[in-house]
Amino acid sequence: MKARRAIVIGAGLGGMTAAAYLSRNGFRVDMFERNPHPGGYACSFVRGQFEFEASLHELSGVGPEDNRGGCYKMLAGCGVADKVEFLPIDQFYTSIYPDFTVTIPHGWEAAEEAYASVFPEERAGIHRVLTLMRKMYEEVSLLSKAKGPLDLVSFPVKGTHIMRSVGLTAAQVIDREFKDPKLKALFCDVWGYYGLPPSRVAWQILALGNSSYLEHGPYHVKGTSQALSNAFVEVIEENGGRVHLRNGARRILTDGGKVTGIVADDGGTYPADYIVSNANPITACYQLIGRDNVPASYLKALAEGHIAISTFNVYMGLDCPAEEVGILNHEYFINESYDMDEHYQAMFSTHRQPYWVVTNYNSSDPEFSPPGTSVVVITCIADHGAWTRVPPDRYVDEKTRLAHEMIEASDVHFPGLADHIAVLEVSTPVTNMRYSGNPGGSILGFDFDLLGSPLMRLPNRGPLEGLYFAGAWVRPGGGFETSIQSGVFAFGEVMKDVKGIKGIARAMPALG
Amino acid sequence: MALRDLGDSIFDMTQIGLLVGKKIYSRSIADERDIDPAAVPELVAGLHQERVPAVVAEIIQETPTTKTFRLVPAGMPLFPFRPGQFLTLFLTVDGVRTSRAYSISSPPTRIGSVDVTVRGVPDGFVSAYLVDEVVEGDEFEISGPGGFFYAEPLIDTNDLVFLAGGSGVTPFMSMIRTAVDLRSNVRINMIYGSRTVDDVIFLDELTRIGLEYENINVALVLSEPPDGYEGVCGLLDAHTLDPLIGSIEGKTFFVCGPQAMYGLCDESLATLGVPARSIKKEAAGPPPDITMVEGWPREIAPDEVFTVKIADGRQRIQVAAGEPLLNSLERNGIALDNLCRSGECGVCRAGLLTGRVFMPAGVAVCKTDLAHGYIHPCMSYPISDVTIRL
Repeated sequence: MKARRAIVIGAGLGGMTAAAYLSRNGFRVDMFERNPHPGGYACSFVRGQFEFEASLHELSGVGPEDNRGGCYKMLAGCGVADKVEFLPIDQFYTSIYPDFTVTIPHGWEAAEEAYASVFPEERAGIHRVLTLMRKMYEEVSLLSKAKGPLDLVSFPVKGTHIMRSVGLTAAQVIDREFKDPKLKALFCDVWGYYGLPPSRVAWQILALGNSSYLEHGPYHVKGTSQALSNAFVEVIEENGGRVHLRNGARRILTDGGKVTGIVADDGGTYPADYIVSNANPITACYQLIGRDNVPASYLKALAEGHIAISTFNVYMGLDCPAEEVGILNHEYFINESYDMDEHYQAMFSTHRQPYWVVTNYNSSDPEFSPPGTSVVVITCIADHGAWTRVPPDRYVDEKTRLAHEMIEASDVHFPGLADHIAVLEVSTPVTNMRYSGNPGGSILGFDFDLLGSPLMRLPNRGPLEGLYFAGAWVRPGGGFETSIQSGVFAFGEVMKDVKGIKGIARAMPALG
Repeated sequence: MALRDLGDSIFDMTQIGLLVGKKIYSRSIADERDIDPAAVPELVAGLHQERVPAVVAEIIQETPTTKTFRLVPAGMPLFPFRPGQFLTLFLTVDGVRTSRAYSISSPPTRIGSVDVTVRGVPDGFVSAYLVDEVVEGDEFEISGPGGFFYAEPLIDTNDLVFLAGGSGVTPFMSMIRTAVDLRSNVRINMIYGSRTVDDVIFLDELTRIGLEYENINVALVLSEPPDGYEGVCGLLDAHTLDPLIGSIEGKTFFVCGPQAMYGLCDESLATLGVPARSIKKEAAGPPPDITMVEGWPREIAPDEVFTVKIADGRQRIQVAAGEPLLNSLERNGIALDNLCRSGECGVCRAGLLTGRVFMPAGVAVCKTDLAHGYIHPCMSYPISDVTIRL
């Protein structure tokens, strides 16, 4: 049989996952990436004697050998898991507030103890919320185990907790069970991962995201997320696929509502019946396909989505071990108040931020940097608007100023930090835009508000026949585990079309 | 309890109804005009440009062998850069499409144009062409700025020592001119080593700035001084540097010059007790003789010929061990995108499928790329027959 040809545009996590699955299932895959490195945000960069992780803070859904999570299973399913080493991170997160500092471990019982140690009078509520999250998480794994249409049809009955939570924000659930605003803040402190404060983020996202960390523990990848991306490329090439680096897609060719191939940056035309775009759907529709060839209803759907947060990062190579300046754990969430909405609002300016993260990459991997040194990164949430309004000749000064302020602010909690920086690099939302091509430099695609939650998000099936989307902008959404899942979903949609599945079955989630 | 649960359930289901309504409403008011598909490239282009066409607006003869080329981007504003950064010139010499990275010698405070200053090396493939052949009005493609050789106010002190050798003075010229233009109070002590007086680039301007500005000091060091020369003579060794630098306390050191100077300055700064974190070195491109570099396999002569096979193509070329792979590829008409040509930026990253290459220490290949057999061909020398994937 002649191999079917598939093209994947963009070597981000979603695209690489789709390409790996397609190449292992008999497709002749060509993946096009305009950067010299594969990975999208899942990459590293070198400055002097230091190598920095560009984006990954904590990888969810991996788990130890006796309790593998969804992320591990998806990576194992395409042969990538064996090619990378996962390093466990000891804690889930450490929160620093004006009144208290507490470390939340992973594991349901241990986390409950940690929350209750600070708020003993609210133990019952804490238990109820964690139990609810646990049930939701179990119900989702039922979905992934579904074998036939019957399992899907019966899901609303078995998955009552998931179904009930579709219309709820995190705040609606948390407010029901917790009294103290300080507990609400602590419980939701990793909301930055999901890009919206509890008042706006879909409860499903916060609940399932945190559950994946609590159930399986957070992990990092030996050799940074670039090692994960290189492993994907190796799998794709081993299965006969070709990875074209420094060669992006310039046009997607269409014929009567069907995609037929692409024109690449090298000027070559590459035909294909199946195209998975890891390039975001806005760029894909407007620049690669052309708006005139996209149904108007789809363009409306694109306009409806709200673009999620970007980040401001200060990457630091220290000339001492991180412990020497008091950075003992993997990740600290630092808060100057308990008002998460106020913290969110602050990201719309380039001013000093009241909510930020300090990550210590040597905690999970002592060999992350040369002996006697360490890599510590400050991350703030950031909206692109304020950064794109900075005049070009003021840009360096502006990012230097904010970096200075955030280093000083972190130095208060980790005295000596500022004096030990040997190598420094700063990135802004514009940096994210430059390397990812994402509108707004978004790290999560569209926002995880109720309309952007997994069920309501843009589907993996694109507006044209033979076009599919993988990546943060479509189902299930942004983040490492979720982007990888989007690639699996896109692959599932391709397979439905290959098998000629039509009607209601086509609208159902892909199975297995 | 049960009653409360029932209440919650009813509330939750109502929320789903509301959400569906919200979805229908938001889709109905969604307006395609809210999307600006050109926003990303436009916004990024204000700060970062990959390649722009530029015209040689003016050529200034600096010394008998050195010229400054004043470049004006054609039809677009000049990109912002940091004093100390380089740009890459893309050009065709003797039918070979190639490129070279040169430090920008003008300050970012100057509007509209950017200078590179090039010394013509007698057997230099590109530098000789630039100095001898290029005339005003010629056009090149240039890259946006690159490199990390700049003062970083967050970690560097306000007391800078520049160690320049030969044409390595160019990034410092940008930094000094910037300090002058901005009336910055940063202290600069530039120690500039040259062979003869004739070789000193920017002599008049540097002398004037050194006299006029209290915070900027310029010391010339000549290795082949004329008879009766009263200034400092010798090489940039510890003996010469010690009195010129004085106390090393609180100072940040920047080093840029020919290959031989790096080893010498490493040694002299170590002798003076300067900690490694206070020293910044510009990335060095291919050395004049790779076989002299530590780690080179002695049994291989620089003119030994190996076969390079390009994977996924029919091309097979013969190359010399002593030349970087990138140069050999270009010589054979095989294009490979590149920028820094000193191993630092990773733009030319390629997969090494079979065979071995020599990459000198300091080439910035990340750990997982090393493990997976990726190389930076601009600083990779074949030491066996190799197959590479571009």
